[in-house]
Amino acid sequence: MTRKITISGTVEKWVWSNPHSWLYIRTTKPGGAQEIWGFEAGSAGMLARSGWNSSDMKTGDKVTVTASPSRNGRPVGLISDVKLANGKVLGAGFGAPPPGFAPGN
Amino acid sequence: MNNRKTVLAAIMGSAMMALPSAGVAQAGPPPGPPGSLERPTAIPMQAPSPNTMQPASTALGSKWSDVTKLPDFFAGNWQSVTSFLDRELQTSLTPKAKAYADAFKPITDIPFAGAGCKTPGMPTIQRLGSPLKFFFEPGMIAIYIENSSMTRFIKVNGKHAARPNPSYLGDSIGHFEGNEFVVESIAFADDILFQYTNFPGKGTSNFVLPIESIFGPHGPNLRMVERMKLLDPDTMEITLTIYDDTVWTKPYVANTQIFKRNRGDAGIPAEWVCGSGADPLEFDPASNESIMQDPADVLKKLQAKDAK
Repeated sequence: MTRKITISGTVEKWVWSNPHSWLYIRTTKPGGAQEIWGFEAGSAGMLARSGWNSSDMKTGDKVTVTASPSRNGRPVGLISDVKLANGKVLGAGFGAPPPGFAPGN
Repeated sequence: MNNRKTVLAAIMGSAMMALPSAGVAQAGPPPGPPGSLERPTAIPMQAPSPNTMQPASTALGSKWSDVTKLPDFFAGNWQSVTSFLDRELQTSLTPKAKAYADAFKPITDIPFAGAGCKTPGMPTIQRLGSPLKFFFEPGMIAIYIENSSMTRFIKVNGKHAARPNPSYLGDSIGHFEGNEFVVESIAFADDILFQYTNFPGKGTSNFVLPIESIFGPHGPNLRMVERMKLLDPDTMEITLTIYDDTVWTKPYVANTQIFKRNRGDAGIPAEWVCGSGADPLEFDPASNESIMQDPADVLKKLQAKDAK
């Protein structure tokens, strides 16, 4: 859970849904082969409360995802943040705590 | 076309007959002309359930004007900031429950592992992190739970149903003791997610994972008592005591839950509908766990669905 990876690619599908949202991107591996990654984000409601929007990403957008990779080695990860082509960073994918709350309390 | 209308009218009529209607004699429908659609002359009707709302109560929470006297549970919504599973459970299990726990294998998924994103029920559903929204009417406090889009209906100063049917949120009654809202719930579905304890040495961190916990069946007389109160205007505490003598040798006092208030736009709860098919984890009933699919295969399915 603590190991992080950063992967850049092109959005194939952004699914705003419950119980969790999913971002699928196409990326090119060092050898040139293409690979589809699936990244898990929070529930639609929690993402909205954290400043995300269903229209933030659409097919064809270039994004850079930082995530915790799956332990089973599959191209799947849990999103920490997503950097959009316009420089905006979407973070705290599982919902930022309400104002005034310090994480870890 | 006329026949279809006649059939529809007959169905609608039958449906309306099934509705309880106070003061209406239980006579059959007026006789129709010869050859008209036959209907039974006496529709058997169940006696309506007794009213358990007690509208005549004068206790706090029974009148509209009481809303000004109640603690403000109602503005915005409440988001849990504590673990949805308990840590450091110390209450001894009964021999039967211990035998069950000793044979239990860890589950490797979140409590939504059930097919179709089935709710884990109380108390877990209320602790999962998505907010709770309280509403009031005289004799009732409702709590909308964003996870699952389910709503608890708590009869304030009321009584339990005489024969409550099992449900995932239970049959709940509540009353105020000073500033505390005390809620008692009974009649739970057999398959709510019910935490017995944690594996030895596991579940000690602030956030306990399902893989660290042991779950099992509850008994028929399971009862949960919650005490809800505000610690400050934006902090709510819920304590929970669970009574089930088939599982524990004495009442189990759960970890105290803390909720923080969201206001403004963040205070409006969202809907919760599953079924997008976007999750590469697919529940396998045979193994009772979720299997990770190749994301490329999932994407193909999603794109094929879009193309239809």
